[in-house]
Amino acid sequence: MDEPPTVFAIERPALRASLPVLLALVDEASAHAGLAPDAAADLRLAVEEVCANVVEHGYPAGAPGPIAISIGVHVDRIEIVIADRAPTFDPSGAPIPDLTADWPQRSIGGLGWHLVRRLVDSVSHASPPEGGNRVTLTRRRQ
Amino acid sequence: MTPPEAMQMEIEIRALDHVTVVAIQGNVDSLTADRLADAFSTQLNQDRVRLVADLSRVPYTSSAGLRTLLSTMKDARRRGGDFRLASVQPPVLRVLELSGFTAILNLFPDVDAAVASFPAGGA
Repeated sequence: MDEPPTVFAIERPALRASLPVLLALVDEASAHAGLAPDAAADLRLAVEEVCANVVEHGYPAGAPGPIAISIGVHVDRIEIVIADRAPTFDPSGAPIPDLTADWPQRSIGGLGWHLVRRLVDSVSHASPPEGGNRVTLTRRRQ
Repeated sequence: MTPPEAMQMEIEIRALDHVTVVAIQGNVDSLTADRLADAFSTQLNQDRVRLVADLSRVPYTSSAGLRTLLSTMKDARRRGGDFRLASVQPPVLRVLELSGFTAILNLFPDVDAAVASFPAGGA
């Protein structure tokens, strides 16, 4: 049976200026979990990519809504939920970048989500009944 | 809390005879990547098309940074030059590798090697 996780949570307006404080919470949770520096860096980058996407594309320009992060440090894993109230965006529909294309054809599209999928063990998306998006990132502690 | 310096990025530009070296200090992320892209564009618009980025003091990049590196490289090559990276640190190298960028960008162990890789003469 899973013991109750230690939870770290924060909510801020979805602005670029909010990113440092959101990411600082990820660092705090990683430190609490005793993650190795490489794993902590992976987690921070994955969360930055998801949050940056909400900040840049989630809400209409000039009308940023909230972004909330909840980090559960479980015995065996870290589970991070990033929630917003923006229109539904399911990352499984993000373009898959061609990483073998020669430089003139190389596109940046989808690179953020590609990184997220490589940096954590699982990525899932849900659309809650009240609207918005809930992206859950999970990374094993070992 | 993230210390204030983590949000900052220093850019230092050194024009050599035929190569321009852009030394960067700090994280290249959503907050700083646009400013870095502007710095590279300014050089390219002045026909300084042989660029070296000194990444020895860059501990972190996100996909925003990758976007800047890719667009600068494309722009430089289309103008007949190139954009080469020097002293890429392990965490940044990992992100470049995960993104397949090491196959299309030229990386050098240090600034001197990157500068020397450009033939003498030209802009």
